[in-house]
Amino acid sequence: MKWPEMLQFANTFDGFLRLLFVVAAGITLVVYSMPFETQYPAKLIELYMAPWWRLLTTLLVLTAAIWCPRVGILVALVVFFYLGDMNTLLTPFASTTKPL
Amino acid sequence: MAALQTSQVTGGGESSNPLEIVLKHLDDVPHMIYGALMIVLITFHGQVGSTISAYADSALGRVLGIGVVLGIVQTLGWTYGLLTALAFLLIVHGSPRLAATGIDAFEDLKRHEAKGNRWFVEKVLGENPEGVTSDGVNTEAVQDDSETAMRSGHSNR
Repeated sequence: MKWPEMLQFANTFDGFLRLLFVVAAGITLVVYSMPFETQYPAKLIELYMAPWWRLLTTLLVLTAAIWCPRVGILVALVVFFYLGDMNTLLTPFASTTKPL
Repeated sequence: MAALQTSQVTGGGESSNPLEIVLKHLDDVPHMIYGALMIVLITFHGQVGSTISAYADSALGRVLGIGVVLGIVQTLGWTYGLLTALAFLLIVHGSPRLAATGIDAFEDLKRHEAKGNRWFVEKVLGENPEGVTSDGVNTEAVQDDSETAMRSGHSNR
């Protein structure tokens, strides 16, 4: 069976690194991002407060996307869940309800 | 000296200086400004007002947002499209939506001005409350109207 072209990794060290990052991002998505009940590490929660950290995570998405589309998409998903969950969890409950 | 020159110039006469490589592959200035705006929007997406995110979460807002993402992918490339999609999803994700799901609890909450002396815990914790959300809430007993309860109720009669 032959893989689709966009899912193929070149048989080089660069291809191995891309595969490694895809697997790491996939595991992060399954373990931390998708289950809402799973708590993020305390360091990540503290760092979310700093704007420069959020800026760095966004630049990570940009860098990953420029390097490899597959890695970029998965990293973007991880960052989306992280930023979205942190924003939801750190916002007071009263301000998350729609005014009647 | 010759070794330095060969280290700076690789095969095909292409420079290996990282700064030159970065400058050579820079995008157009308007595209980069748009990318920087998207990065700032993603970084400070929590500051976007609930009114804007509520509009983005509406049916028309979603259609327009997906259309904008598709347009950016077609015109500026998929990298900018990915940033735009991330920003749009974060704005939609931050919209207030609990009232739309039928959660109608705490409807009778009212805000009252704080009067009198501070409570003991407020003094201990150093809090100075400006108001109280509500001093009385109407509640109702939990009622089980499932079929099992109704059957047992009938059998008791």
